[in-house]
Amino acid sequence: MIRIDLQPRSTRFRWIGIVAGLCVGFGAFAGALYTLDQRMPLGGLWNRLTAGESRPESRPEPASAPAAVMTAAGPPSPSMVPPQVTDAVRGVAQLARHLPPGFALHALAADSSGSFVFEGMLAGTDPLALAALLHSYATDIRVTRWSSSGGMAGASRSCRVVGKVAASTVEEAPIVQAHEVGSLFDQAEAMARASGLRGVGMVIHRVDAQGSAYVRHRVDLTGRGEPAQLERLLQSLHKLPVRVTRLAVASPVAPAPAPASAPGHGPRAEQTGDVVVSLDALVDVLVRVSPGGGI
Amino acid sequence: MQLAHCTVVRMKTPVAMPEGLVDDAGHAALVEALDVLGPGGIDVERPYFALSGTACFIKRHFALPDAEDLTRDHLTWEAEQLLGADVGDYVVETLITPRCGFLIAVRRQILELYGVLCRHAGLGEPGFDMTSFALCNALEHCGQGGAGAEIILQQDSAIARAVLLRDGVYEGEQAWAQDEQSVDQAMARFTATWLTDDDAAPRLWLAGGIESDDWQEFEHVAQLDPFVGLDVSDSARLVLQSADGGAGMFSVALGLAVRGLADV
Repeated sequence: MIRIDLQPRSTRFRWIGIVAGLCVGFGAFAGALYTLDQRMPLGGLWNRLTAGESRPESRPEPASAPAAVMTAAGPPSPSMVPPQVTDAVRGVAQLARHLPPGFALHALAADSSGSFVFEGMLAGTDPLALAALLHSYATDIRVTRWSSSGGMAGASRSCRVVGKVAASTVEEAPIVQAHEVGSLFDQAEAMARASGLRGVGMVIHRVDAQGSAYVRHRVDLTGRGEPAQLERLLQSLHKLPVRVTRLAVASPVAPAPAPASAPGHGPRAEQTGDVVVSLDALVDVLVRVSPGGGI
Repeated sequence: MQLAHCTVVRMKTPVAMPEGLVDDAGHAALVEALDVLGPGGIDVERPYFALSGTACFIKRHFALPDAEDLTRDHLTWEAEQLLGADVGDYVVETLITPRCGFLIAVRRQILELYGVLCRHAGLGEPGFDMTSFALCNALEHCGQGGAGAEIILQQDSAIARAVLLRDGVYEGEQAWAQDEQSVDQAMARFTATWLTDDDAAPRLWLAGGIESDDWQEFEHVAQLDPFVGLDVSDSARLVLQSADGGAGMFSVALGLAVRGLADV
């Protein structure tokens, strides 16, 4: 029988932390009041307020002052600015090819900002050396690891790498017509099949951003394949008027760690993974108003 | 052991879970629905709830051979990496099988809200299990499975779920919203992802009103009856026979009940 224990027990340390936090907050508030009282007697201020002393009125605007007017020439509101499309996700997929042979990649996640997470097993490569290698291609690299053998040399280490890849191209996202979305995603699915991915599927979502000028139609392309096939797909998708917003690759069957080898020697073994590529197509929903006020 | 009572609690309005726990109207509707249990002769000393959806997740990792403590230590580390500063907002558990280690995380707030719900409904302190684990326990309890690769396909009104077992051991799962993906598409993707060449003739168990005739690609397809071999009272039998989708609709409930009895 599967038997796990999911109870929201509050630990003793949690309560100690809550009490300590309240004490610190109260102490800080009391200290702030004391400091303020040294500069401005709070007792006198309170007395004035409770005695009903009128506060100085704000000067009325002169009758001739023009009223402030919102002009159409002002900067656009954030919701009106079209999102951008970048090649950052493709950059992360390319970065994964630079991982040393001793890093068995189990999972990869990336988004359009270039932020990524690599998870896997590291054997025969020092985490600091891995970080130094990746610093050549990305920023904000952070490598954390867990070791199963007390840090012995050559021991397999569960490893997690977090970082950010800079996009080499940033453009304003293309806008499509509502009737084009279906065929657009069909093309994307065909590209996924042409890239060599197996078991290609498509899950369609619709994201209506309230207050935005654009409706996002989202599709998750799913499949299974090797990194080279994934890169072919991402390269092909770049030609379509869509945004690649997210990439997730996972190996559903946990592979054994790659055999320890000297860094840089030999080609990286190709690994099959379960792939999800999320695409957005933007549809402009602004209704054009004629000068007479009708639609 | 006997199935003494069985009932279907119908909601006047649909309540999405776990979001309904937070919403006042949803909470009130749930309390009202649970209030029928007592007068209906079901004295719930400890209710069990199945968890799934956005408030929880199961993540699969490797298992170190013959090193359960180290595997658990690794999974705890993974939880800290994944959840970061939010790790205190989750209740984290681990499940270690002969092949894999699983990290299970549930939002603490959701569990506490279930506790509030039970107090307001006059029920005892709740227990919890993952929906997929309850299905596995139901299959194990009825003694029908346990050999080779097996998939339990379960659906309710909004969500469908496929759970893979090998030799009776949980291996993984996938859930999908039925309005976003058809069961056929999702199952095709699930089998392509999870089944290997070593999985000869996997068995498909249907739990929840799914037709058997639609699964020609599986050699062995059967409706999951979690009450096989169980002594069932006459009143409970009437409820099972009249339920839409048959006895399989109660697979999760039976799995939770079995788990609850094990905790006593």
